[in-house]
Amino acid sequence: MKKLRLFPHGFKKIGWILFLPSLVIGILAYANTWKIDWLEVKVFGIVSSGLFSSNEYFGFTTKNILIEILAVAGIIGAILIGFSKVKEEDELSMSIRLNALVIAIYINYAIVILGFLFIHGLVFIHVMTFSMFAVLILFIIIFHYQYYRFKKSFTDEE
Amino acid sequence: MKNRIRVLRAEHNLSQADLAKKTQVSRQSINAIESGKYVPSTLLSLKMASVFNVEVSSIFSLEEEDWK
Repeated sequence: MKKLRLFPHGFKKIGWILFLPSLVIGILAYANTWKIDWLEVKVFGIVSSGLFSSNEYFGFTTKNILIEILAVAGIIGAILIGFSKVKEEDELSMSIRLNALVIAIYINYAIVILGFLFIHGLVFIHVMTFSMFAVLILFIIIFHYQYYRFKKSFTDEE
Repeated sequence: MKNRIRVLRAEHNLSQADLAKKTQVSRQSINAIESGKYVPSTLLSLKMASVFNVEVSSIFSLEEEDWK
């Protein structure tokens, strides 16, 4: 059976460096609708839509790309944190990783279901934004917690 | 699933860390397998058998509750 591919252990650190600033600045920028003037640039879009205009296909549009940069850096960072090898990668750490991924998916979609049932109108867009990132963030938290617990409880030689 | 890893380690004078190194896993993993908390893959079982120079079936054995 082919082994699942993971990134080398060193990539984990790069992941944290990308992820943490993106998360903090991203939350602040999202909550305060921050904009950085010099990030107002012309970008290519497969589909672009304005609030009151119809969709434009394969055209250029001017927009502030702060959120785009933070989202891409944050997602790549989170992937590197979750899917880089731990220092002593073996089948047990992989089993903990896959287990954490299953639990993260369950929790994420439980929250999305609650969102569908109890959050109505335009504000639902926050549920969608949340769920795009939450599955990775939940996975990282659950995996590291469970791996830490495993390391701790099996460190003492009986 | 029962295992005789501790006995075999003692017979071969190997610590958990020694066995971990020889089978390319972490020491905590050996500890977890030894205490019955984790069932190793066939590959890792065969590696252990190779280190101890025995058959896999003489390291691990089924218990009644494994059939439930």
